[in-house]
Amino acid sequence: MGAGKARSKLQRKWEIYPGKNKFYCNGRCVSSPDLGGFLACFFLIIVTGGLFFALDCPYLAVNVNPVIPVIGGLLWIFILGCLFQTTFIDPGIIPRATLHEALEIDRLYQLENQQLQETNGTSYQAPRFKEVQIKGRSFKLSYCTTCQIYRPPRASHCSRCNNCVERFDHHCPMVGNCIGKRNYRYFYLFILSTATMCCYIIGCNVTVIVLRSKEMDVGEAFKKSAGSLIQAVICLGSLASVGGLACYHSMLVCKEMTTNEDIKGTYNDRKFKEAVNPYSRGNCVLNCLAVLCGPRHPSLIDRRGFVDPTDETPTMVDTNGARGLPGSHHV
Amino acid sequence: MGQKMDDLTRIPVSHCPKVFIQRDYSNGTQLSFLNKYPHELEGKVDAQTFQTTVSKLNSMYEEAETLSGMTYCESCLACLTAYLSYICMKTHYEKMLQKVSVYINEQNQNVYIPRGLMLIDPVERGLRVLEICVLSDSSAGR
Repeated sequence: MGAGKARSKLQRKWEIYPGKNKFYCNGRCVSSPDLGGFLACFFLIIVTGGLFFALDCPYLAVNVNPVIPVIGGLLWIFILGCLFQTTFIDPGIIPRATLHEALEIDRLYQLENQQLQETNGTSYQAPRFKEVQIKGRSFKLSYCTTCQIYRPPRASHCSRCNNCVERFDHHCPMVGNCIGKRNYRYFYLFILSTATMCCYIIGCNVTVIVLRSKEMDVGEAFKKSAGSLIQAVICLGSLASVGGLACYHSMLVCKEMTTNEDIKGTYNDRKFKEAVNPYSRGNCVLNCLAVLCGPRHPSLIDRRGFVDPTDETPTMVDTNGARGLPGSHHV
Repeated sequence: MGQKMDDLTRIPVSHCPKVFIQRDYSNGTQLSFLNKYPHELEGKVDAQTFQTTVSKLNSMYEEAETLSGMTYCESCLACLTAYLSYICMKTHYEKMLQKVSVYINEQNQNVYIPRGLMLIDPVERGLRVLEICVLSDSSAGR
């Protein structure tokens, strides 16, 4: 009994997590601090889907083909599945360094830069860069002062979530999460399937109006299909925003690049001499397969693990408190 | 995390000296650790034993990350179920990480703890480093 009681008092690691992320379901789900965009997205999908299934589908199933609502329903479930995966899984957050690790990085940096500091007369300098070779090309890894690590290649610090994220693409306020190594696939499939669904619904709306106008007067047909018109307007609006994004990300997937790298022009050979993307598999099909069917990487922040009460170096709380970061309150 | 309470990890590790093996990025971002023998381990464990362990770890990580038929099937199945299958399914990657954890435990028992060293599973350090604790400075060297 005593053991059980003690266990229930143990804190889970997400409760003392230093970033700004929000956790749900006792640490099973993670998202960014702001979910407004996600709720708006979710609401639109539910409303449009609801209108489509309630108004157009019965008519089309009877007059055209009963397969139409089935395809629509499957697509709709797929979109929701992808949206939930994108928003509520860990995007690939890199946990912050333990105290020992941070001290070791600092020690090594001071050792390497001793000479430089002596000539410059400066006494102490925090670590800044580390050079690594990736496929024969040298890349600079910058030091993250918040996470106290050298950011791995392709990782970047998200200021809104206050975390380093692996293969950082961008912070997406519309789905309410960072887009990184772990959820890029779901994000890409979400925008792709949403664009497809929009086209599908618009196609169905047009069919309904055309078929009705054959049965009755055109004005009458429009009046009777007011719901279809609302759907078409919502879908056209969504398609305008999502369609371009889907094309852009398809291009990135083929090149195995992230939005972050594209904006910075990391592999732009006009900007940097002989810059080549070392992560590309050399072939558009292979790159697509790697993004869409690659292994699902595990989450690195052990959210549901228990905080070890005997551990006397609560580095996560410590570093945060010392720096007075706004993320120090626990949600 | 069930192994947390066994005798192996009860050894207090927070204050002992540590040796860190960093990630090897020479082949891209895939998970592997530098297979260079750190001089801090001299006199504790010979270079060959250490490098065998690290290359075994690296090969296990490689198996977890490569695009095999298994991962393709897994991803396609998940995709067909709108990614709901991940709720109740353990991925190949997770199974490999469990194997790594078993391997590290076994290596610790047989090789490293008798020599006053202990490997920490990289998963506990966010796969950033392979941490080696130097438990005692009693043996010769240093």
